[in-house]
Amino acid sequence: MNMKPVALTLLALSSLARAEDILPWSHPVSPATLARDEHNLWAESEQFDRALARSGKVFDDPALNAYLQDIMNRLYPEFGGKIRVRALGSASLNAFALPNGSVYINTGLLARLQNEAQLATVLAHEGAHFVHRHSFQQAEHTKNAAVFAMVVGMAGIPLLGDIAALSSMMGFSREHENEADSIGYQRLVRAGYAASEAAKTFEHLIAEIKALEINEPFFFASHPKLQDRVDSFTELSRDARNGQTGHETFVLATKKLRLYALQEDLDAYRYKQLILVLEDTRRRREYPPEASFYLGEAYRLRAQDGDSEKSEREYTLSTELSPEFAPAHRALGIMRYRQGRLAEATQHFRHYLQLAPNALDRDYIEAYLKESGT
Amino acid sequence: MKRTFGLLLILLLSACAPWSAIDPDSRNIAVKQDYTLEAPVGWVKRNYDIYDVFLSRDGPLLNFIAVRREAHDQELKRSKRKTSADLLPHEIAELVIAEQKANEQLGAFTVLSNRPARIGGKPAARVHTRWKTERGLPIERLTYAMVDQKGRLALIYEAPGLVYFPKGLADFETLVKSVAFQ
Repeated sequence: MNMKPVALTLLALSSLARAEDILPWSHPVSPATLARDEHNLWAESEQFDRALARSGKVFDDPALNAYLQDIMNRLYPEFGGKIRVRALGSASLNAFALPNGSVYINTGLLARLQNEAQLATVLAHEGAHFVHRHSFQQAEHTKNAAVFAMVVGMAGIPLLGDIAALSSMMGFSREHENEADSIGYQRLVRAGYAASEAAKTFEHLIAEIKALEINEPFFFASHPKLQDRVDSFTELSRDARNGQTGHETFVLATKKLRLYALQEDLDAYRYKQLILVLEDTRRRREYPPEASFYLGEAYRLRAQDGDSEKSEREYTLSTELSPEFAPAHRALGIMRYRQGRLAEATQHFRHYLQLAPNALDRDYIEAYLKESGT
Repeated sequence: MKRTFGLLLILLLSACAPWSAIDPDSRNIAVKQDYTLEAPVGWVKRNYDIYDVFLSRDGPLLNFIAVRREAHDQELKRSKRKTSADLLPHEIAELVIAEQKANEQLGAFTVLSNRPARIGGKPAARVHTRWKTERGLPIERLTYAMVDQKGRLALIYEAPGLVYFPKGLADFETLVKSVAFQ
């Protein structure tokens, strides 16, 4: 009797049974209690965490990370802080959960959200992937684990540019995504957040993706169709009671991050994103007043007809709304310097250097002041 | 067997061929009847299509100097930006930083210094940056960049920050000072 088909059948049956046995966690877990495969996956995730920390990619803002953690703890109180959230310095609209309960949300995505309820929607979804052990359940688990081990284990560290790819690699089936949406939604409501914000989380991001003709970010790539998702959240929240939006808290907690994200967009020449976001007055409200300066810079980079006037208007608005914000004075100084209006340029440059005596570009400004004859 | 060995030897030799030591008596390098510079002694030179000049002292992973002249309408590799002759030095510096920051592989990217400079008597930017590799190794890069009517010129020195960067810095600064436009 050829035992091979029998053994394969038994193996297949045992793996099916095993998938059904993987129950969601209801409390914090010690990795030491896990079976070998899951323990290995956990250990590799820990290694990935350490590599990220070493690389400097984790956004260095303890107050923000504490804020993110508070929200996660509110969503999953029984885990007592064991689902750890951190912001990651990356412009891509992405968030991902590792099999050890580490959740990362990219600064690019965080900066695009409008309030705490929307942020909680994302975190609740990612938390659900961990709690329901989706990475371990994944039908392609063996393949994923092998690739993950190859990237993280053999190399010792992940390739940082492939973070998004890695999260995609750890991406989940449509079934798991639907489950994470559903569980996440329940958690959102139970934590007292406004259920109606769940759909809005994605609506304006979809608009941005379409307007800029950018590739779908990984957070969405493995998810159900975007519009289906918005529709499903809208349907779910139809009869939901009003909950907390957390707009003001969110705006305050993410102020530093938002300015950082704007600067990142500018540095990377993503002026289109910046203009799209900041020209929308509803979204503009979520940004601190210094945002006017960044919009002015975005117009300067776009350099279409009339953009110079728009830049000037935004720079001026920035100096009015936030007089202590040095870069707007610098920008006005450069503008006047280019126009040959040297007396005005000098005034702005001096103001800039007064406000930012240790500015990294001080030498340039002093050189321009010298050339202006002052 | 002899034939295979010979073929391997030829391949090995040809792979090594592009590197050549800088001759102390002939350090001057003229590029496209556009500019000249003096290569530092003790470094080796290799021909690359994308660079006008490419030098290393201890191997490209440990230190290198790359010099590149490009036309304004040629997009920068990562940020996809173009340049123009009327850019002010601080705007050139912004482009240098943007180009590096657009590389998501660079962890903990920091601008260490950024100041005006001169290349061959023309206004330029001098930007010193640092980042970490995925293994946490700090890498430093010093870029001199300028624009004129012909296009943009960048001179880059890059090395691991701990030992190699300070080691070759003086040679690079001397090389930058030697640039002369024809």
